[in-house]
Amino acid sequence: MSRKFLHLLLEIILIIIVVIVSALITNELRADKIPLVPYYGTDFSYHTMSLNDFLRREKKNLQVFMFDARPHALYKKDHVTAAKNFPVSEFDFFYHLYLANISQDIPIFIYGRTLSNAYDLELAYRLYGKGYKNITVLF
Amino acid sequence: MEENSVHNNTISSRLVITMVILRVWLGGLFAYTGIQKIIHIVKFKDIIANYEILPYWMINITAIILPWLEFWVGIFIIAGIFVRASTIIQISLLLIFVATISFNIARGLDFSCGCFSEANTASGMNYQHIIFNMSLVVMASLLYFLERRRFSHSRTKISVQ
Repeated sequence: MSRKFLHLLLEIILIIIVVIVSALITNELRADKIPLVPYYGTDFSYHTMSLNDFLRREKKNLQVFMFDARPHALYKKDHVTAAKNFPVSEFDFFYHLYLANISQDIPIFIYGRTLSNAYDLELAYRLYGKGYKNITVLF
Repeated sequence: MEENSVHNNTISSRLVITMVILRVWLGGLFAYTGIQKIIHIVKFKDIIANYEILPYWMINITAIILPWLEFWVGIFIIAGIFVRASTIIQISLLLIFVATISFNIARGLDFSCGCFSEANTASGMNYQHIIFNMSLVVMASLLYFLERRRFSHSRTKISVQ
């Protein structure tokens, strides 16, 4: 390996170290800090079901809630007809709008439409914390 | 002989001016976009989730690290420190952005690209972003080669002395 290449590699490693240190320190110090890896505790559990199965089995059941956890702008563009928009970023507002007086036994289906399940898992976790244990995340 | 040296000086002054312009533009842009993402980190995290490419456990760590990478690369390029290494990182990042934007356009997903993460999440991913990013790749490559030329030229001078 040439000396020039090693020199360049060393510079890249130094830059990466500076980046990681500054990113981690500032994230720790900020008020709206986000966890490095989402952790939902050990007692959090939910069911999973494919969207097609849900549409076949549950669509006509009026006693269930189906929520689309994505931001409103994305929901507005395209969503499953039965789904109500419940953006996880405005959890408190939508919780009071949809579920404030609803029994905690009611089945809740959450749909986030992303490969990584970022919105749906977060919404499921927060509803679980409110006492709703019959939660199914659709994929 | 004298004419030759005058000609070389003109070339080197032009080279320096070009490099300074490129460094300020490329570095300034990256530093600015990095700061925007650092300020709006929660929104930026959502935008990464919208891309539907990374697994869930990688979204937060990417939202924390990537803006600082952009910021420091921009600052280093402006300051003239580790310029070649910074441009290599910058070119890599830009090519990743082009690939992910193209991938999502091909899949028909349309939301903010996150380039300036204070923007609305609804729309904004289009071919113009790809063209803009590719033009930045060309500029960063030019900066890399000019910097390498300047670097090797100054080394030759030192070794001759």
